Amino acid sequence: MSDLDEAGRTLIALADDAHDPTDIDRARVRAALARRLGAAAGLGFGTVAGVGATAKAAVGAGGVASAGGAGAAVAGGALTAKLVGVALVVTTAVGFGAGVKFARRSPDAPAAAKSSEVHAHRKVAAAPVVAAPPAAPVAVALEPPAPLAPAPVREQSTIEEVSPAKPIVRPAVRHEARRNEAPPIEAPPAPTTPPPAIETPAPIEAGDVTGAVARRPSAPPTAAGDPACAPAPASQSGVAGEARLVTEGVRALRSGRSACALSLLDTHARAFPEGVLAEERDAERALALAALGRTAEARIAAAAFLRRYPASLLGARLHRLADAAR
Amino acid sequence: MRQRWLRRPHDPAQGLAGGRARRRTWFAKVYDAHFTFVWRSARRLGTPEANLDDVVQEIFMVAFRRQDEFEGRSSVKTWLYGIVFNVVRAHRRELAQKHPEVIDGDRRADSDRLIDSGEGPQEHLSKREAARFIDSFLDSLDDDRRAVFVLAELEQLTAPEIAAVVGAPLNTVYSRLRLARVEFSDAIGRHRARDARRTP
Repeated sequence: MSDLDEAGRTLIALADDAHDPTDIDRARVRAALARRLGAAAGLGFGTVAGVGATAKAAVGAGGVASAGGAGAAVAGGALTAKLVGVALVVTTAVGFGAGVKFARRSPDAPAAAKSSEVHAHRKVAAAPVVAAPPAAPVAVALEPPAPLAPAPVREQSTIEEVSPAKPIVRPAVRHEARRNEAPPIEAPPAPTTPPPAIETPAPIEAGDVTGAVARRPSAPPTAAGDPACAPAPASQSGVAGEARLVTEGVRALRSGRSACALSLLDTHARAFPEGVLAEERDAERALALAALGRTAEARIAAAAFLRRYPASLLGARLHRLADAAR
Repeated sequence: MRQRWLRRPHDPAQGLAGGRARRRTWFAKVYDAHFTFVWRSARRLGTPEANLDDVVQEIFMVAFRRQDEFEGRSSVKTWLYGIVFNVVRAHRRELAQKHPEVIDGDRRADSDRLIDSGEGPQEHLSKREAARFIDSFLDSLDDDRRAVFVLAELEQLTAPEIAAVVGAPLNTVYSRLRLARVEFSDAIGRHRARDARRTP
């Protein structure tokens, strides 16, 4: 219904793509949305292939302010997206199991934890995302990482293949069901070097922990940390390393290696406290704690997650977690 | 490949995730297919550059929440335009209340921004100049005319579609468009005159 003179039409035609987003814009917003909407948005399933390269080009050309950040955000978009797809599956499976478990199981915290309830509470409140303890026993990963996870990490370019929930869900569910009957820690513990102190900034203030959570003693961090499960965080920096940690963590959790999963997620928490995948990490971490039977910590982590990401749909399972053992 | 996956029938074994899975694919598809125009029209409708990320996110958040509403409509695009329009308008109103200088600054800046275009290949230059001109022209319009002009002339929606998007009677749309076009011609005239003075 255009009815402009030629000069006007020419101007408009010339400016036609002036307001279009760049691939960086697209990926950045996508990553942000994936974080806000959680897995339900399914933003993990788009095609973001090649965006990384575009980002680099743009960065090289100086076309983007805070170039490094933008590049990271772009890659994060793709990876977050992928991870979210995986996370939904895992969350579904583990969340249900964990919820049930929570209703029945009392925290298997050592008695010492009770006497130092307040102390433990403060500690957790200060850094609820974190649990890697000094002198932690370690779960040895006996299984090779690949067999149970057909797709999630392999493809970097075609994300579609990553996420068909169907093939992944069933083994995960089956495994969870099995695991609910079995002791939560599946691998023989072995002593190892304690992980370094954790620097995760507190997602919640100390006063923020609800009475309900504080009433029960939190189990002191007990498990997890294995060289095999915790690849050097520095081996891959940036989003790639971040994604690998979380992806491997999710995979470990899904395949029943909960301690390994926790170790990986804690490594991520130390290396990337505010990483692109922090939301996924925090959610999975709470679920890993639950899978390990560390209910009090799991509950606190879940509550912290829900406060930190109130809009996240990853939170659906965590609600169960946070509420179940009250 | 992707399409095929998206159409894969729902597997009841997915249980709780099933409904969401369908929804998820739909939403992701909408995002991929329409992100560009959502972003573009949010800009054109007057979202300040600095707030664009937030506004576009908000638009998709609203779309996500309202996707059930969409069912049965014929055009995702028109539906989305409606959301874009409403979110941007709400954003601009809020902005006008809290930071009137941003919106007013837009209006005042008008055509002065056209002058220094920097250097570069001729085509690039004129493209950029055209973009600046359009931007400052849009900023000079009031929000109602701006919306109609953007949707009609830049986004090529039909008048009935625009009426649906902005929630105004068809006649109002036509009259706003007419007025906006007059302003556009005037702006072009002024621009030419200035150009002529600069390059004799």
